[in-house]
Amino acid sequence: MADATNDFPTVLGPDAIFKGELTFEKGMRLQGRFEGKINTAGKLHIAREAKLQADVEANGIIVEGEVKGNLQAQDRIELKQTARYEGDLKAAKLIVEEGAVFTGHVTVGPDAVKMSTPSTVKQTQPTPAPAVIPAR
Amino acid sequence: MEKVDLSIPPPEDRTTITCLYCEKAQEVSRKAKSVTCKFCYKSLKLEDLPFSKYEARRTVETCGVVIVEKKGSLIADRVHCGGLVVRGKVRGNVTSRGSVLVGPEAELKGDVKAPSIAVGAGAVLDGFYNIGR
Repeated sequence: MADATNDFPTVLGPDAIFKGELTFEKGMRLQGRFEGKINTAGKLHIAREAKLQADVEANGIIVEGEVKGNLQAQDRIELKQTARYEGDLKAAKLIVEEGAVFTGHVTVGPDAVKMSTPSTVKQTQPTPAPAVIPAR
Repeated sequence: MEKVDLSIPPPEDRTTITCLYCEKAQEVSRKAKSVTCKFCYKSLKLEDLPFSKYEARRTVETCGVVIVEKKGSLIADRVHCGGLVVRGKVRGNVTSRGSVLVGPEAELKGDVKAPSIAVGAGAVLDGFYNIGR
């Protein structure tokens, strides 16, 4: 129990409904309803009773409930036996348990996420100074 | 047409298969390598098909299991089978009545429709998947 709390310190309870954008560092367990977008460097666990309608970018994603949206994971996506998923999926690794139901475009492999990961730091090139033409 | 009662197991020398085309179940001899469907009269291959080298086909159809070995590379417009095991490379759209197993370091590119799928570490997948429905 202590380990589970350490892995997923943020919990959205079964009676909670969240609409919007969410970011967190370590991990989150979703037990309620979520609509919007999730962006995290940590792990996301969608519990059996949870319903997620969102695009997710995370390090790892575990799906046990109902999900509609695009999932992208740097490490792995796990679809458990009770998972019901509709949407596109991108991950370095995919684990699918028997009984999981999903439909959508799948891209899995070591290069799957590297190609699509946008850079977080925008590099701005300094604008060149206008040429000064001396007056005659 | 005789209807097959799926609750009663077939005799030891016979097995039940499902036609790839009309999806009707029927009993056939275990030793048979091919059979004609009693309902739609289409020819059905029953044997497992192994691929251990590069092969390009328009369609690959069998009620058995298609096995692509580690050094195998199968390119087909359509693979319609009773099961699929990929240890090498497969490019093509797959419709399987049974499980699709993709081994570690294997490659499966194309759309896949199957009741279940198992993916090994390091496998490469790319395509539209319809699993379990």
